[in-house]
Parts: sequence; C-alpha cells; structure tokens
Amino acid sequence: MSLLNKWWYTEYAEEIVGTLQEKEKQRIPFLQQSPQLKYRHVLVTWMRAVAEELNLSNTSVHLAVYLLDIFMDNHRIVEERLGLVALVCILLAAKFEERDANVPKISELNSRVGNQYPITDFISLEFMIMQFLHWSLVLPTAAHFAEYYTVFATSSSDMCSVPSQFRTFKELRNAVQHNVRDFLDLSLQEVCLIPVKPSLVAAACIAAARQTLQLSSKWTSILQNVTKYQFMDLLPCVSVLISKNGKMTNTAKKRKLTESPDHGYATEDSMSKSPEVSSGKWSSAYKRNCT
Amino acid sequence: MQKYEKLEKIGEGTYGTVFKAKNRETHEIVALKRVRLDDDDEGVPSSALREICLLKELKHKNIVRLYDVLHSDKKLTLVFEHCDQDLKKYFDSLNGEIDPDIVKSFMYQLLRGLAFCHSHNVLHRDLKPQNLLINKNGELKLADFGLARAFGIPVKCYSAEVVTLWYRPPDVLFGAKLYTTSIDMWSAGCIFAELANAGRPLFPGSDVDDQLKRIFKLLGTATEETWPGITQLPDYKPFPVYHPSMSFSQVVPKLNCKGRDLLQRLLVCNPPLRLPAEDAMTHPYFSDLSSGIKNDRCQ
Repeated sequence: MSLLNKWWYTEYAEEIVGTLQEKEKQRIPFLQQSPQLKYRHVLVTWMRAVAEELNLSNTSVHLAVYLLDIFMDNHRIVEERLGLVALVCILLAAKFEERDANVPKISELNSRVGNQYPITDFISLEFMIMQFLHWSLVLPTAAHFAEYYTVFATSSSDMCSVPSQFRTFKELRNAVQHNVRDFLDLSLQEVCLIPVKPSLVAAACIAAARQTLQLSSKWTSILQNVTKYQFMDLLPCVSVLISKNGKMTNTAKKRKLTESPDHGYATEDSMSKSPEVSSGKWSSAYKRNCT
Repeated sequence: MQKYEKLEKIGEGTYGTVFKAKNRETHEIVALKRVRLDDDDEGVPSSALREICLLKELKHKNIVRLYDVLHSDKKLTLVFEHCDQDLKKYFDSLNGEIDPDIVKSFMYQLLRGLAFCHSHNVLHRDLKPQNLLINKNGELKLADFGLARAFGIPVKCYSAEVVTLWYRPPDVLFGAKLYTTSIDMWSAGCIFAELANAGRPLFPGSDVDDQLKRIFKLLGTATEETWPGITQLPDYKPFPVYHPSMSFSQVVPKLNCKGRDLLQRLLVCNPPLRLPAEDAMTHPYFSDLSSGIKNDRCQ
C-alpha cells in the first residue's frame, strides 16, 4: 500500500474514520414526513446548479442537501420559503466546508432568486437552523466518506484483468473516480437513500463504479478493510444506484470535472433556474412538525 | 443575557471581545465571547460558526469547554469555561524562571489536547501562548478555535494565511497550501522551547524571510536532500546555507537531554517527519511525569 506512505495520509486516518462513523450513528432519524417532499427533486437540482456557479465543493453540496432534508423533515415550511431554506443550507454548508474566500455573501445568494427575500430573513433562518441542529455541522455525508474511500477504490491488481479500454492504471483510476462522483451525485436524488448510513452509500458508490466499469472483482479485501462493509451489505444500495444510472441518459450524467484539490462541483446540464418561489409572508413560515 | 453579570473585559479573540462574567444563579464564573454581527451580508461569521461546531465535538480536559451559545438580534454570545490566565500572561509573571516539572506538565497537556483534536479531525492552526489557557490547578487548555478546521482525508486545500508568524512552520512559510496535523506540531515545538526558556520566544521573526532565516540558522538550511520537494513549494526561494552554530543545549539550556530530543523531533522542517502528538506523548521525556497528570483522563 504505497498510498499509506503519502504524506497527507495522517497517522490518525483510521481514528478519524472511526469518529465519523460514530457521528453518523447519531444522525437525526429521517422519517420522510415533510409535506414538501414532492419539491425535493427540483430543490436539489437547483441547489446543485447554484453550487456549481459558486464553485463549491462536493462535500458542501452533500452537506447542504442533508441540512435541507433534515430541516424539511422536521418542519412544515410554506412553499414560498423553500428557496430561502435551500439557500441558507448552502450558506451554512459553505461556511463550514469552504475556504473563507469562497463562502458566498448573502446578497450573492439572494440574487439567484431575484432578491426576493430581505437579508434579515437569511440571518434569522440561519439561527433557526443552527439551533435546530444544536449548533453542530460536523455531519459526515457520503461525499465525506467517499473522499477517503476513493483513495482505495482501485489497486494495481485491478490491472491484471482490466477491460481493454484502459491502457494504464492511471486511466483506470481516473475512470473509477469519475464514476464514483457520478454515483455520489445520483445518490443525492434518491429519497430512499437518505436514511441509509452515508458511509454505506459512499462504499456502494465505489462498488457501483467498479461494477459499471466491469472490473473483475466487485469488491476488494482492501475496500472491505477500509470501509468495514462486505459486498453483501452494499448490494441493495448498489442495485438502486445501478438501476437509476441505467435510466439516465448519457447527457444527464456528464459533468465538467474540475481537478482542483478541493474538487470543484460542476455538472454540465444543471439547471440554473430557481425553483418555483415567490415572495411570501414570513410569519408562521416554518412550523415544527409534530413527531 | 440576563443570566450572566458581566465583570470585566479579558481580551480580544479572533472575531470578538471576551468578558469575564458570573452566572447570576449558580455564581459560576464564565468567559463570554461576544461575536459582532456587523456585516449584514455575512450572518454568523464562518470562523465563529466553525469554532462553535468544532468545540461542540471536542469535549476534553485539555480543550476549553463551550457551555452555551446565546443569541439576540444583533449579537451572538459564546459561553466558555473560565480560566485564570493564558500562557502568555503566565510567562510575564515568571521573571525568567520556570520549574522544569511545570514545563513537562504543560507540554504533556498541550500534546494530549492536540492528540484529541487530531484524532477528531480538527486542526487548530493557530497555536501560540495567547491561545493556551491555564487555571489555578495547573491545567492547560487549548482555546480560540477561530482558525480551526475539520480536515478530511486527504486534507483539503485551505488558505496558507494561518498561524501567527513566530509559530508558523517552514512549509507554510514557503506557501504550502496542503498541510496536515504537522502544522500544529511545529507550533507545539516552538511553544515547548518557549516554555523551557520561561517565555522567551524561539523564533521571533519580523517577516517571512527573517522567520525562515532564524529557523534555518538553528536547524541548518533545508535542501532537496533533507526535504524532498521543498524547491517545488509555491513561494520557495533559496536561502544561504547555514550550518547550525548553536547546539540545542545552548538554545534550551534548562531542558534535559530527553527534552531536547523531543524538541528536535518536533522542530523538523520536512512536515511528514515531524512527530505526531500521540507519539510525542509516549516520548521518554515524559516517563517520570507524575502519574497524577498522566492518568488524569479526559472528559
């Protein structure tokens, strides 16, 4: 494992993954009880587009979508405010994940929706979401786990029986990485995957990528050691991803792959239209769901 | 805010003023850090947001405890455990003499707090005596996580504008944008030497060039041989070849040879060769540390 000698691989890698896996066990249960769940697809698609324009990282996007999911699941939100909630989720995720220079200003976000919300609404909602989360944003997502797992997604032994389109290990590794990113993206749109542990979703994205590229072994002992999952554990999730992938057209999957160190987030076909939002009254805009 | 009675101003943090205050009900003394929300276009400053989120994760004896977050219209107040003074002020009170057992105890506690941060994927990125708090019981606590970051594996690229100049490692001085736990270990080494010398800073540079010159004069100029890849760093520039003119026994005369060995393992220019906090804690220098401090387990 020459990768283990890479300088960025800290002494603490295993402990850190252990900590993240402990954290994911403490997630607020997702009960699919949001009355606005039907708007989720368009909201997530739009959030990805906004994140692309702001050049936010994959982890910011996944965190923002998770914040949206868990906040929506526990509140009744008037429809006119859904766009605002999505933007504040992006703002919070960016503040936690991005370099300071890359954190969007509130006015910048508001301009995406025709400046329809007062700036103070962003600020109040930011407080409200953080209080709901007990001021914790250390919420690992599939993208966080995938950053680590992807390092082990391919090994030189994969070259022994590799499909002919890959001439070098580097080509193979890049192809797997791109596929993992596509599957991670895909996983964002699957409501049935929201309650699944992010570490499992991340591992399944890697398994799905290996399967799509027809690597001879679906899962390696290294991946099993690193993720602590056996292929059988991942199977239901892999099936969802593969079948969903089959239904998508090629154009819908392609993305601009930026190779910056923080993995700029970009998709080619993402919509930049805002979701259906119009100005509305602030009062009683967010009601806590009774659970 | 009715809950606390403000007593006196303690200092200025990364993003706000810190006050000593008393809980009106329990009479407990706390430190209140007031976060200004002046910039209407920002909301909660990202440094404050990260400090809150990260400290919520870091419940450890050697890390300052965040009790509560209060907010009103235009301000956010963080309620911290109160410590009597910071290490800088403690140094000022010493008159140039420090008990070697205190040096050992403080250094051990610093490393233990750091090991906890690092194993919970948090980089402090601004270690310096002002950010280490000391209480009456001789406990040391890491504070001011305003520049701290949760890091992934691999570590993401964040700004190079971190760490006060005197405690900044040579890789960051040469513009390295990727760094890991080793960034904090260099600072810990500088603080160790400063502790041993009762508060005399090890590398009090006046600018980036002077800082590197001081480092290389003590450790010898780093080269491709001692540090492969150094010439590829964004702001690399060649320095004259200095040969160490002073031995470590002259630099930290009061530190015993085990202590000097530990210091030399922390002050390594090439980042991956710097000793991690967890390993530093098991260094022979600490073998005679009183078990009271050693076994004083966290939480």
